[in-house]
This record gives sequence, C-alpha cells and structure tokens, in this order.
Amino acid sequence: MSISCIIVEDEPYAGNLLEEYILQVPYLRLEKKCLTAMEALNFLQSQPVDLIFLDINLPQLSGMQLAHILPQNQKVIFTTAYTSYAVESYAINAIDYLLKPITFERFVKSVEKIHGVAKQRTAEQGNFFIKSGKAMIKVSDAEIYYIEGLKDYVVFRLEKEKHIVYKKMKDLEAILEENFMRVHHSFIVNTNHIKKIEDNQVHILDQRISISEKYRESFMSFIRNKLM
Amino acid sequence: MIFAFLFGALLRISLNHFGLLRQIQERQSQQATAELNLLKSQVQPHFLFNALNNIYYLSYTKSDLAPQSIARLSDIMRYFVEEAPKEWVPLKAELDFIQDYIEVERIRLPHNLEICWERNGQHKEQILIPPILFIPLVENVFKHGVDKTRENNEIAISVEVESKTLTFTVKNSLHSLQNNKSKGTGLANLRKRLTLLFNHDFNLQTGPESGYYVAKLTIPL
Repeated sequence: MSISCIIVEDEPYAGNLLEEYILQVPYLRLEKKCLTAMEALNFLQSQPVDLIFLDINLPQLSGMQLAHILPQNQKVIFTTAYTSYAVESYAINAIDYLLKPITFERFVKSVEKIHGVAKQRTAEQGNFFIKSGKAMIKVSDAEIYYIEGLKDYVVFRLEKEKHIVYKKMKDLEAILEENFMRVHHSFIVNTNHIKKIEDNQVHILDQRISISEKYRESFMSFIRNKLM
Repeated sequence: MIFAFLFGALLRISLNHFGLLRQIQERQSQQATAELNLLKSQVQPHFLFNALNNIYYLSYTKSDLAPQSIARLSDIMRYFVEEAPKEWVPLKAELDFIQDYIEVERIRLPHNLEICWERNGQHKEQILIPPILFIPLVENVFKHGVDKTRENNEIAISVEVESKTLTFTVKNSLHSLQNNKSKGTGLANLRKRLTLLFNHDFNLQTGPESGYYVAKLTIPL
C-alpha cells in the first residue's frame, strides 16, 4: 500500500529535506515538487495525490489558501515556521502540522498517522480462508477477536465460534495487519475489539488476557497513540 | 518675620515644583526610551526558524555550506543581542549585519539573486548611527520584492555618507505583484522610530521608480 504525495515548498533546501525524508520511507511515493501553490493546483488537476506536504508561507497564494480550495478530504501535512496557524490548520482536515526545523523522527511520526489509517482500511477489506478439518472457512480480519497460541497450532476466536489451525504464532504475526498485536507469548489480540485495558489485562469478549512483560512496551505505545 | 516665613514656604513650594517637574521629565524620557526600544525591529522568529531549517538540511547532507551558514546566523544573533540594545553603533557594524542577513536569506531562494553593494570607504563607516535602522527596508525586499518564481531578481544597496547626512537606498527589480503602497507594520514602526530619533529631520521615501521599487532613507548625522 503506497501513498502518493507532492511537496509544495518555495525554499529549495526545505523542499530537498522533505524529499530526502520521503525517499527513506518505503511506502511514500513522491510525484512532484512544486515551488508555488499555483503550480501544485495545476498538477493536482491532472493527477490527484493521497497526500500533500504543504508549506504555509508561500508567495502569492499561501498554503492555507490552497488548502481551502482543495477538496475537503484531501490529506495535508502543513510545514511551517509559524506556530500561530496550528488552530486554523486543524480546522481544515490537516493530518498534522510540522514545525521547522523538521526532524526525520517527527516526519515519520506524522506520515505514520496516514499510513496507519490506510492500512486499517485494507485490513477491513481483508479476508482469508481457514482450514478447519476438511472444510475451508472464509473469515475476515474483523471477525477475529483474538488468537490463542497452543503448542503446534493456534485457535482463532470469533464471536461465537473457534477455529483451530496448524500454524505458529510467529508466522501469523507477520501476516496479520497492524491492528493485530501480540500481548503475550500465547495471545494476539485484534485491537479493534478491545473493550478495555485494566490492571495490565486486555478485556476482549469474555476473556481477560494478561499483557506480558515482553510485549508490554510496544503494545502500550500503540495504545497511547490512540489515547484521546 | 512673616516675610521670612512666607519666603521659606514659597521656596519649599517652588523646590517641590521643580522636583516634580524633573520627575515628569525623567518619566517622559524613560517612556520615550521604552517606546524606542519597542519600535526597534526584533529578530523575526519566522526568519530564524526558516534559516535553521535550511541549515538543518545543509548539515543533514553534510554540505560545506553548513558551517559558514551557522557562523552567519550566529553573527546576526550576536548583533541583535549585543549591538541592538545600544544607542549608537558604527555604520560598518550595521552594514556587515545587513550583509550577513542577506546571505542567510539568499540560501532560502530557489534562484540566484544578483546583489550590488555600493559602500563608502572604511573611514566613513566609523561614523555612529542608531542600530537596526535600515534592516526593515531590506526585510521588505525579501518579503515583497523578490519574485521567487523568477530567475533574475536583482537588489542594489547603496550607502552615501555626506558631511551632514547619510542616505541608505535599497532597490529591487519591480515585478507585477509587488504592491506600490507600503502598508507593512515594519515600515510604519520605522517611521515612528525615526520621528522619535530625529523629529522631522529625516526623509523616507518608498515606491516604484523606472522599473525598480526604491526605498530611500536619509538621516542627519
């Protein structure tokens, strides 16, 4: 799942910096670098993109003005030296707001937000077949509440049924989408189905699954990103 | 006896009166100084962070331009911190500062910028002037006078020191989008500050002039 993007930035070095960053993120695909908002507008009319890195302080037509012209659902990450535009930028569907100087770390954090959303969408559409006995049963990602690992096989727990599959937890982890997280040596949970997290336990369906030491940090940081 | 008493009272009253007057005058001059300081243009955070972002890129790519850009930005910051609070600075210091400022602005531009400097000899640059007086005019060139989509932007700066006056002129090649009217707060503040410093003994003119946008400031020495 790649994300197409353009840079709108009138300062060449600032534009180059973003380009360097984009090249280092495998799922980002840079389509064009524009020096003005008008140039971007012209380009977008013939070739729409998923994401725009948009400087606010541009000559003639400002980045903020361009954002107002673009379709409501256009994803924009603003880049600027001003902090005073933050409130306005969030009012117009901006995904994020990068303050100059922009570090790579901060940049990645920002694009990950969009990547996360995109991945979730494909996961929602994703379904696969489980071999259960002699039958092949179609299961969609969303139906799975959690997966329990036993010795040589795993148990897929759906709302009302269970399916046993001969597979290893480690192999599953690599296949499943990002919303599936390992919380324990023996458990992978679908974070979309978590009811609550309390006393270091994940409540899901009628189960309480302990979060083990090994997976606690990665799991909790995932949750913290979704904390309002 | 009565006269002596009356004289003494009168003396006290008038002493109080003069003391009060002096206090008022002191307060007024303090107020003027405060106002002057407020009107002195400050380093623009926007300029600073954009410059840092550019330098960040230069250092990220390990460019040879990084060290000299950092040095220039340091000189600019030092000027703001150490020289700007003073009442008077040598003309040379102010001009060097402007040159540093232009060089840092230049790395932010997509195309080359032609700059023509006309500076007087060293001996004339030792004269003292109030600091940060010309920079608002140079800032305006970068804000409004440079068309970033065009490849041939020109700036000309000249400084003429005469026996009783100094004239600072900034010209830039006029482009279609540059507004003839100067509405900027930078220029309005400069005018206020000039009035406080020189009363009406100065001349500031801005506007288009045969293909150029010209800002010309003459101050008494």
